[in-house]
Amino acid sequence: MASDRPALVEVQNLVKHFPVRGGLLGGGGTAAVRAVDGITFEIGSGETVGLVGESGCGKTTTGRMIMKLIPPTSGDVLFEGRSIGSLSFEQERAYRRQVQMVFQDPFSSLNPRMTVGNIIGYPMRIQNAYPGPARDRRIRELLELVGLSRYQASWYPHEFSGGERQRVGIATALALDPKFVFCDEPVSSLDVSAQAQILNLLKDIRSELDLTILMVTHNLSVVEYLSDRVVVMYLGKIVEIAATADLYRETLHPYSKALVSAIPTPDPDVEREREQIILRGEIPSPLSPPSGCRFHTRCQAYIGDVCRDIEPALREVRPCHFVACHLYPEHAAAPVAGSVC
Amino acid sequence: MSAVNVRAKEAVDARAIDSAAEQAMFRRPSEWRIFWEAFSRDRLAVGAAAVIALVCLVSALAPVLSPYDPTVGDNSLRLAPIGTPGHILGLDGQGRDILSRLLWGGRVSLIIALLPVAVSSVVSVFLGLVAGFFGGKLDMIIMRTLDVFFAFPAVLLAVAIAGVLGPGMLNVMLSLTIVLIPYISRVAYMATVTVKNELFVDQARVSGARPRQILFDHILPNTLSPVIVYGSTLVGIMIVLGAGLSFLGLGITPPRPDWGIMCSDGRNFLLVAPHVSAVPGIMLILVAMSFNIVGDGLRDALDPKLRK
Amino acid sequence: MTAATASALLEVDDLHTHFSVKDKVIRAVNGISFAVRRGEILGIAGESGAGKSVACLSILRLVPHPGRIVKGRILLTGQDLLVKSEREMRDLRGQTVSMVFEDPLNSLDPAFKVGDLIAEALILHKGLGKRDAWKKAGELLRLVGIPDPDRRLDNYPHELSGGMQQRVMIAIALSCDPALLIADNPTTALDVTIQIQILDLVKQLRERLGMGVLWITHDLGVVAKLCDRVVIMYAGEVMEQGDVYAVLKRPRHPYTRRLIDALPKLGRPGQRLLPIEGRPPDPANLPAGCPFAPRCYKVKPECAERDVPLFEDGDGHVVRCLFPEE
Repeated sequence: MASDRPALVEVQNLVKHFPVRGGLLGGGGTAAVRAVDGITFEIGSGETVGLVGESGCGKTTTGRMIMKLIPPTSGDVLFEGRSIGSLSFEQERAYRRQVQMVFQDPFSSLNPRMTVGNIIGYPMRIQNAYPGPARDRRIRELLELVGLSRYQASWYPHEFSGGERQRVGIATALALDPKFVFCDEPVSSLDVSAQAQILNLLKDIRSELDLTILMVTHNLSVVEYLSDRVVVMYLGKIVEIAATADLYRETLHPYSKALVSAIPTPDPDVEREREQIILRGEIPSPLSPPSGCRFHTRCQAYIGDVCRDIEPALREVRPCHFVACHLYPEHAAAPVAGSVC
Repeated sequence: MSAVNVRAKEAVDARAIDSAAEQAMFRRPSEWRIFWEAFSRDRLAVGAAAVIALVCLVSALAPVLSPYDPTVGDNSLRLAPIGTPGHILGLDGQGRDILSRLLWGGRVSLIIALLPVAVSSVVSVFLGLVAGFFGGKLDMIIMRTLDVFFAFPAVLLAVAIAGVLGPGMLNVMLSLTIVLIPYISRVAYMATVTVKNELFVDQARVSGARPRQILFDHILPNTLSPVIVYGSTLVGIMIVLGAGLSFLGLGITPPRPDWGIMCSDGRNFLLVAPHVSAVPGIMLILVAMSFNIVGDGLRDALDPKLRK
Repeated sequence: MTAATASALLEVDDLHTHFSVKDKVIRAVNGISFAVRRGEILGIAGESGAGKSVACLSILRLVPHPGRIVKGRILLTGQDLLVKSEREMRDLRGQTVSMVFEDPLNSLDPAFKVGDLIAEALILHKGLGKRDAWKKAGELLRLVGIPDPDRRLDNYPHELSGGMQQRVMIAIALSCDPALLIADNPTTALDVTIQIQILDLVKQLRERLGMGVLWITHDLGVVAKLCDRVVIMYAGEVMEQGDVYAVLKRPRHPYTRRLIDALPKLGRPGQRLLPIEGRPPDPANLPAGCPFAPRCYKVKPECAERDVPLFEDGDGHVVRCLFPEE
């Protein structure tokens, strides 16, 4: 099911530690929030990959590093095979034309002092794209593409509802005709109806525009609706990668299982039938993650000391299905996302 | 037919219809109109703005409107009360016409209030933006230096600086400008820091905007309104403070009048002829309050989220 | 509606709560009726602005100014709450009926330790001394599943995670053994694995303590997981009400059906989502007739003519619709 096109975005051993000042842990001030602690995965051209996890898992930080909003502590991000690490000014500009973002909070992502038309036109202004009357035309086209009226270009953000503002955000992200769009929790702030509209919109336009999408969310049913593949993160590490259908059909990692079982769904039959996994305890702090497998303190399938002492590597355990868990003996030797998937 | 094609078809139909009525349905009034509609809803603010406009106008036209020379006195009519024929607001201790002095004095008092706020705002916005946006060492240096000034009460600081510089209109304004910088900078700084964390700034960065562009296109416009609102309140305070400095003899030099000196001149006659101090005093209160009220009105009118 | 509710713990009858602002009247709640029995978990579901929170605050008579309860009856263990004095209400709040709010960080006073926060109600209502109150507070923390409870008593709210804060709120709410617990969206801000812990906790507490629970949410999935019966609210009115199984599996009101259709369903990714067109009505300008008519896929002229009554189809399943499904 995975894409047979080459990888568009590759994340390699990406690490991000946020230093915390002072002796918070009492041992001399080099404590750090280990937000992302060594992750590797790739996104194929034309694919939609869902990056899921709960608070503190590092999914948003990962996305922001891909967007070059924050620099990684170590590791690399490759776009079309080339590192985005040290780019010249022109190269970075070119990168930004191809890589855009949809933000989580539609009330903060639009400058309240700019008309919606100016907001959508801003990326084009910065990049000198679509000069002259072509720009206005493009702004109107984009408004219509996302289901708004071309005449609303002179409106201000506060005149729109949350769902409509998110459409403006999507139009802005598409202004430069990017290849890749990072969606950071695009529907979490919206009510049920607006959520459905935005999800439908994303589904419709991504195939028309041949977009590659990385979607970060904590809602697994949203991920299932839109994604081809899913990457599950916990406390800065990847615990499972699989094609969407495979993940839901055969959830391997105990955390993924707990996550899937915890998603509320409005069908009492499903609620009654499915396995209810209730994890113990709280999500540990990324300041001091547990030793060995980070999930071992809450794991319902804890085996023994090996879980506490040794960190499991991400291994391909079924075809194109990777898990980092001691429960699963090695299937293939490939330690990272292979070229087949 | 895919959903996108459906939408495109509907868009084409819309273009075909494209009536003026439909366009008009979506048209929006200009920025100024929106501002005026919001501002004029607050009738008190409009009234206060009218008062300020009137005072500024007559003060500006003092050379034309003033019935007498404000520095020349008629000793025979010393301390004449309000309503004295030919001198509607009476005369002061040296026989000078109070109305004339009020008009001429208004020019000084208003300029002493407005110019320092304006100049200081420009400097402060720059400092606040730079400190707030770039953070780090720059932030620390700028804001901690300004904190030193915060340690002194504004009035005392103004008195001290004016005392050091000596009397004169320029020195008064310089002193007030310096005193104002920490306060306005802090407002600009807080606004900058707040806006810096908004997602639309990230959106600008993701589009490839350089720091300079982000500052001008996004941060500055959102910083200006709090500064404007705060500034208009400060003008009111500066009117009184400037007058106070003159009152203490640290301000402009006589015989040029300003409202502060006029109040000071009437000190010795408060029981006998209160109007000498009271008239300029009332003027001060009126104008200061008007600026405050206008400041409130501006705050409500400039906040885009409150518009509806 | 009365026979089944004869033994009701809470009975709300035709409640209307309005806010008078300048020259407008915001009709937040427009005639809702429901009942909660002992040991029952009733969910109130609907989108934001439907009036769910205002309804709860009305029950506790904590509606902020300029809101007023203009009509209706609220009976708690048989007593009419609307005729009680403020002092009598204060006695009831925290003792007979208590509430858990959405954002624990905003509801827990950051200046006090957890122990003090829980002990406050005990000292106030039960007259316990401070030491006894703290001891009971520790037991309550154990009851709500907080590990190492005696040490947590000395923590300040901000030192705890979101899930723990919410448990503390529940502990405070339970401290005086209330008969009814009202919860306003207490899990929306929590991660799903923590949310499911809290939902499980509430179910256990219901078993052990036999309280009635009124749970407000906009998430129908939570309703399916937790509630026995559900009330669907829209524009301040009850659109549908009944047993959770019946309402969610065979929704009769078009609005309920649309709410369910708009959600992505686990296990059925291919099914296209059906959003509801349009926006909810302005509560200051409610249209005549059925409030959902402008957005309803079954709308007919009669729907907008006059107010739609409730139709019951036996089994306590109630719909406010002239043309319900099936």
